[in-house]
Amino acid sequence: MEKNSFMKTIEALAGNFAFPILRTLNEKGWCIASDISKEIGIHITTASKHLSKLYEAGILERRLRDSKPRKAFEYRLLSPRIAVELDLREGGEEREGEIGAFYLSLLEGIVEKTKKLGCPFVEERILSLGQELEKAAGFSNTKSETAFKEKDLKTIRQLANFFANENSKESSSRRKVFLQFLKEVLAVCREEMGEVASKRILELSLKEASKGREELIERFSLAKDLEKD
Amino acid sequence: MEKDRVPTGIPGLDKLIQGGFPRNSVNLISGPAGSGKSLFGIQYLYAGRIFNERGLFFVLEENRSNVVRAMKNFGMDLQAYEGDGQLQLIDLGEIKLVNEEEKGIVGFQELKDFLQSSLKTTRARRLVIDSISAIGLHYRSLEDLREEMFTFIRFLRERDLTSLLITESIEGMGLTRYGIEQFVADSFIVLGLEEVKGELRRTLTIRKMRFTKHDTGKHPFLITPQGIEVSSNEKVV
Repeated sequence: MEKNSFMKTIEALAGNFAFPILRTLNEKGWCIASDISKEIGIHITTASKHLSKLYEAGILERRLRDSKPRKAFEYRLLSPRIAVELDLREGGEEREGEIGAFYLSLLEGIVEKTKKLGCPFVEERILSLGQELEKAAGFSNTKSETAFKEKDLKTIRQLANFFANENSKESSSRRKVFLQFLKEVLAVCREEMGEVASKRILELSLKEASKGREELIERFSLAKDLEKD
Repeated sequence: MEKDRVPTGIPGLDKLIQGGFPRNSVNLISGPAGSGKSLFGIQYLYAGRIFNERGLFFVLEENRSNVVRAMKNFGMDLQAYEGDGQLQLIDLGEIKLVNEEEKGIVGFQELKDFLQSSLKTTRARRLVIDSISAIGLHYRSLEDLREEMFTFIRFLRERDLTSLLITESIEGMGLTRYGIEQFVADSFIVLGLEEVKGELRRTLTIRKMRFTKHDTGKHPFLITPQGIEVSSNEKVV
């Protein structure tokens, strides 16, 4: 995690309300600010402020609920496990783009190899995973959703590029989502082609994507990150 | 179609084997290079369309695009068939690791691992492996090969799947590559290439087929623009 994201996460988790909010979301799933307000007895504005901070810290995901009298964001936990990491070695922040590019190249390798192998179902399932990724990225109402419906793998690549190249304050949490996406892709491969074939596809794609990036991979333990949970 | 038979769809052949392969059996076909084994395998899967039986073809010695291209010559559009979800051509050469040329891409265990997963999605009822000669390279001894092949064939029989395994024969070296394949399979068909007066004649013989009253003669066959056609009424003396 880069310095800015780390500070943001710590800030979002500090105070008396973060923990009861997280526990409520863990129990109830999707909630809007008024649900949280009622559940833990705080003012709706306070609940809304905390939910927004937790979302910005990459701990929650959100979507628009079309409720009356007006639209509101509803939130849920991205994962019931929350980990906060800080790497104090120099250069981490500047290299987010490089790391993203590595993941992108790996993803392309996996998709390409699976297609050549002749497993169309894998590609189809990767496309639907892409929709999930899109939601996680928080722009499910943009044009890219339409493109997904047309089953265009290019969109996944564009999306992946977004994760790879965006050097904003949130790049580290984006990287986390992209890594999770890659892990889901590998799980799909395992389901469709078995342990051996998917392991080999990962091995071969990893080898190609690693060319010229050996130092980066070693330093940030990128290959290790891809190991099964 | 008889419930317990799976028609091969190869003109002239089904008549000789009571309508087709026994359902859920493991069948073996052997022949020298150029005898039409792969074509036989694809024709068998392609016939699955008529009976609404999905097919799965493992390519180990060629690559997908070559198979697709070759079959176009016989009027079989495999890509369209794949697009309908009726056929899956798996090119295992794509998962070949470096320095694997010598020992073969996969063994029976790896193939079983793949099938256990992919059969759930593809719901294939017809399977072709082209060829088990390539899988044999994975084993150091004939004993290991026999044991693994036996376990694999038992795994196939337990599935709702009628399989065809392809093996090559080398001229003057016996009917199959390793000399053991025919003993573990439920049926054994031999394709031959004979030189008669300077011309090659193609022949087909059903050497063995469990649960079947089959013809035992050597029949000539032709490779026409539509594929293999067996002359069931003619025999080679």
